[in-house]
Amino acid sequence: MLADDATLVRRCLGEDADAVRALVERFQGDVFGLCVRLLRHRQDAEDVAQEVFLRVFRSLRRWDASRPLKPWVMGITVNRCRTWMARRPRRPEPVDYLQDTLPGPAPDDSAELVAGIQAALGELRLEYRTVFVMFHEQGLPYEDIALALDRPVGTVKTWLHRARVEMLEHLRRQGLVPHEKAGTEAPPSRGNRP
Amino acid sequence: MNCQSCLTLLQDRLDGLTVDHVIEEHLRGCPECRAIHASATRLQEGLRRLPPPTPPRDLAPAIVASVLTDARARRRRRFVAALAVAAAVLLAVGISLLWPVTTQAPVDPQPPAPLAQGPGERVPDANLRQSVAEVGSAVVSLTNRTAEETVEQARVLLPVVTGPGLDELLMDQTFDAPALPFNEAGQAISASLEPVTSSAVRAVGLFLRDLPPVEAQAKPGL
Repeated sequence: MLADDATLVRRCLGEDADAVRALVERFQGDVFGLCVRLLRHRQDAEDVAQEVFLRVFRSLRRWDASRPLKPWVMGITVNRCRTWMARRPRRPEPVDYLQDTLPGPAPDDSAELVAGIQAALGELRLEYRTVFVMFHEQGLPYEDIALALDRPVGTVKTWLHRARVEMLEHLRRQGLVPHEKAGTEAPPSRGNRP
Repeated sequence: MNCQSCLTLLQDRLDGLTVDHVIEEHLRGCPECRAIHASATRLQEGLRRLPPPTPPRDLAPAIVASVLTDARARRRRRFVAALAVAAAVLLAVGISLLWPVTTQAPVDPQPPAPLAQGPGERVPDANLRQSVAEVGSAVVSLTNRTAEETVEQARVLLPVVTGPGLDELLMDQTFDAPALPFNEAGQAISASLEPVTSSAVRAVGLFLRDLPPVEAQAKPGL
């Protein structure tokens, strides 16, 4: 994988148009997806994604070939999103979820559950949302997320665990997860709450 | 197992590990953990069904075009910057080559006036080296003359100084006898003036050292 990344980067530095296209197509899904989740605005996500790739190619000589390419690209994505959010004025961002269609036939409340998860994601603070998306939606392991965010693995785990707790609490408030029915309560728990 | 351990294992479950068989017994007896477990299951189900944001079809071609355009523009800027640096270097080299020619002092056909010209001294030839040598000689002769004049004045002043036994010495001694104290006074005055003359000689020497080297010529007094 590292050898493939290095070969691709070498060709990109030689301004090989096919290599540039290959690199963009390899990462555009994850870059755009993370931008949408963080910025919660599709048009902004398209603009920032373009900025991300410009920054990637301008900085390509500084990429450390001993490390995987994807965390480096995702780290640039997070930084550009942060910069964009700091510059843009706060405004309501109704993300157009209609463009994201459910794959195949769904149970009755799946659409509601998915919408609830997306809404809950928007309520998370930026760091929690970032690690949650990178782990659960993009499948990055803890180590790669830590590389991308330049944080210790322990910090990434803590952020992700807290994000999950907040997500679960949000879903419970929305009634999207089952509650314990009255009359079936067990004796009080002896352990600590999360 | 307590609730804290159960919740830690539920986090592992969300990480993708299989832990249900471990927490099953605790869940049977703890409704709160049971509810959290159910919520985690729903969350995983929803995440599996969550569609990832799909980029528009024209996004990748637009990005590729902007990246290649940007690379070409940066390459052009680097080329122009390199040209500017090369031009600056050539200009600096050219100036350094031309500078000695433009700043050399023009040869003055008129010989410079000597700083100190005594009777019978020959007017030196009109070139810089001879002028500097003449300056050095003039400083030395001026310094020696000053020392001699000072000694002469000391000889005039010394007979005025009186002291115990001095009158008797002057009455009893011939003219040659007081030459010894006069000589000592002259030597003392010359010694006191020695820093002045040596400083003058050093100053001329430093000035001569900064000039381009020429054939060594024997010059009296330097």
